[in-house]
Amino acid sequence: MRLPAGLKAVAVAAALMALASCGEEKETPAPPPLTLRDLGAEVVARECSLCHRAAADGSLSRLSGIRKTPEGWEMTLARMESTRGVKLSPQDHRAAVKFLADTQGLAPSETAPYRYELERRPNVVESGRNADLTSMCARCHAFARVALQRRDAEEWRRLFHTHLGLWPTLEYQVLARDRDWWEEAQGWVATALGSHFPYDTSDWREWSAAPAVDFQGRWRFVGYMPGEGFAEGVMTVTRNAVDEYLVAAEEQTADGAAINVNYAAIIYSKYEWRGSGKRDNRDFYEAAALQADGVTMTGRSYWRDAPEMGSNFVVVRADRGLQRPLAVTKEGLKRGASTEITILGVGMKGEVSLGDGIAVRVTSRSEDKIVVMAEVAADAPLGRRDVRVGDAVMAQAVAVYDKIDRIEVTPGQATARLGSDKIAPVSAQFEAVAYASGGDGIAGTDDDFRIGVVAAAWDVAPYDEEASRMKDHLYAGKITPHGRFLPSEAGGNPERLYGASNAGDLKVIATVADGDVTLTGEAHLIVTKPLPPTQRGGA
Amino acid sequence: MRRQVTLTTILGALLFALAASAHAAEKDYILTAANPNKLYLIDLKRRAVARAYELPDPAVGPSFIEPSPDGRIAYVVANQARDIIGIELTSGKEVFRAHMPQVKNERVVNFGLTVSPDGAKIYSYEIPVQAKLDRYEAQPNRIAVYAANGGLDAKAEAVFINMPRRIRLLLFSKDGQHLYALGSNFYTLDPETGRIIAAYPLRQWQEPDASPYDTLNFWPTPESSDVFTAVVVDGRAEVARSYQNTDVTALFHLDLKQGVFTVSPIKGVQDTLFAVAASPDKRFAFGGFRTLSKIDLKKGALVKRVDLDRSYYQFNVSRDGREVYISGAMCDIVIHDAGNLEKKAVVLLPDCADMAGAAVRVVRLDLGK
Repeated sequence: MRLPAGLKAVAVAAALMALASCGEEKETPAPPPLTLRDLGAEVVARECSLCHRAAADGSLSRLSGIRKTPEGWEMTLARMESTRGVKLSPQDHRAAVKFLADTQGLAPSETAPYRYELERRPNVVESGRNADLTSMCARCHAFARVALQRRDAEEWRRLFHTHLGLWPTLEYQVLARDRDWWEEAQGWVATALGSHFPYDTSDWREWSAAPAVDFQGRWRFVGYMPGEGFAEGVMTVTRNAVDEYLVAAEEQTADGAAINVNYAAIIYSKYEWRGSGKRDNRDFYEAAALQADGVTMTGRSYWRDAPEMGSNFVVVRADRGLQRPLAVTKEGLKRGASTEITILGVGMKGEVSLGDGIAVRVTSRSEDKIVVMAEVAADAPLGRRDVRVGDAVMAQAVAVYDKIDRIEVTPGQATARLGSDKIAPVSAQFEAVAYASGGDGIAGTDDDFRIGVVAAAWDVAPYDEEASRMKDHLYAGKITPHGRFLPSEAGGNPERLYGASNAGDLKVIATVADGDVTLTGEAHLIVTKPLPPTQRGGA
Repeated sequence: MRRQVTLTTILGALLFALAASAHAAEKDYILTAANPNKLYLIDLKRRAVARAYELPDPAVGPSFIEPSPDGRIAYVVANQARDIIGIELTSGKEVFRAHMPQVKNERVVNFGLTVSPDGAKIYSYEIPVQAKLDRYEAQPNRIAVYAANGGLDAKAEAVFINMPRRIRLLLFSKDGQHLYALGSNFYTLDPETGRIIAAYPLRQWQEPDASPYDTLNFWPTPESSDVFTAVVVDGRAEVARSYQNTDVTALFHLDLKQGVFTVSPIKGVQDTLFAVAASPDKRFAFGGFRTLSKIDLKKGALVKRVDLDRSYYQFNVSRDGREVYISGAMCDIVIHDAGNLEKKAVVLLPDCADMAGAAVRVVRLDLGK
């Protein structure tokens, strides 16, 4: 019923090869090399079926009833290797992930709400989910890890058996022992998940039937690193094998350096772009999704040893005659002032317009990058507005303001982790975002508008009385002038009351000057114990 | 004055020497364990490790410890709670081992252990999961009963299936008539049949403007008082729902002699109580985490609290009620005066062996016998 197409093909190929080997030996042309996916089908048929027995229709027990992202299958295979004695060569392992993600993956619409998990975005606070379901699943791991899988209720039930098999004491934890955890998991939770996230969906069926996309060609990219700014460049993608590419990127970094980065990328499920390589001898990884337009990818690139540090990027084909502004380096334009802004984009031709009341003087331009001086009239209309280059529009890309009314520190709720000699620390990057209260002058109403990221002076303070008594702000770590909190070392600190570790509960305070006025904004930062990178999420 | 003190001290020493010879060498010890495979007896008079044992292979990560009622055998849960190992403390010999699986491919962890008052039977609360070819199958939790003389490959001689889930501690009434199981709720069982005689609510506790009681107790410390005392925490509508800021904490008492079970609120305890133990006269409870708190059980109020040097997990009271032993995690056991709560002594485990979450029990035995 659910026999993956690839498996059938391999069975046929194997049968043909068996027949061929019976014949006389003679010179035959070398068979075309196996694609990674075909190799994966072979690995699954050879290795997985030892335990996941095949039914008459060829489907494998359990395995054929689950769909996952590449990261999900990666985790499954890693677990099979660490707990069930499976031994795969790195290439077979990689191939199995490729085959499974291709044939039992998720459609773009199914991953869209949960991209943050695949992109390892830090400090995402998940919301909008029933509190009981959150307590049942998301007290240990992101709910996205659940939502990025598809199973029918019975298979979700089996997953809970796996949970007790691997973590027999999980029922004793906070938010588990306050309920009949096991009984609920086997009951309504499995039923609800089977109904929210079932195996068979029309989205996946339709996506499975869609043609594959060739990613070869020239692409323009713009990335934003919180706290650091914009990086941009072009990359040339060439095919190395089916769904495997080599990338040559010429990049202008946020601090203005020109570098070349060569790395590899692989496509899963026809749209999941995963790149990996080295920049400055440091391993990075990137996860992106090809959008429905077939010419745009959005995603995030991050350091392997510090996934919290990364760049949120957009990549657009630069070889299709597209004309698009992609980013503006400064959003907030003050009334009565001249501000230099840079518009980054692709194929940008024609007149630059920032709308009524703003005189635009272009100081330099190419199709990829336009630097303009924006002279904002003293009576220019306040609020967000479009940026136009020729016929291309970037909606609501800049704001005209007269004064900053409040500062919001993002992320509002963050976690940093102490580091040890074995486990790298997890830092936290903050930004100060300015807002105007709009026409009514009242903060928090519908006519408020975002002015944009502004420079700030950074400090930390105790979050509450207990943190103040424990002087957490003196021990937990330091915040840089760019708003990055760098946590201290793990382990007991004999200088502290109770010999406590350097854990802390802090307020992060941004102080922003707007003319003669000084404004502050605050975020909540919890600095806690180290956690190995393998346990820090990933779907 | 000075002379008087000296004289008293000498007299005391003489009396102690006489008493010691009259009662042979029966002494009180702390029985605890540490990573990777150590077991220790600490002489409480000498403030020193009297005997160190190595658990025989394979045994790592000792956690729970239940002494036999005569104090001569330590039943130690080890190997990620997959084995129960009995060590005779006088000889250091392994005299018991139960590996809990009852069928092939079963993986079982122990999450509660007690010994019948006659020392003959070992009761083990077990969480079994079957690891089949392509799936795990969680089985109903059970209590298995082993004969203490079952040897080094002990098999359960009785199994009570379908036990309540989320049980953390098993305890026996002193008369051996009742087996108690404490988890998110509290149960009295018939030790012969496993039948549930009574089920008391904790999680289903109903009080206006309060959350149900939350209890997670890892260590029983009834040795000195025959009362098992544990912390239960609830959230009140008017206070923050966290251990740190809970204004009202309750203590759960189970009198193992009289079979009486009570829950009483305690006012004024602002600190986290990770564990508590009652004094032999049942007037006070001592407990804490980063602090040592003394609680008057009759008044239900905090008497005194002092800061500790670090965070500790366990609190035991001496059999004469004069000392509090504070331990768990890392390698130091601190002895405080039960009256004024002042620190009296510190005992360090050799090589600073890490107790981690291993249980700390007070036992009385004659090591020479």
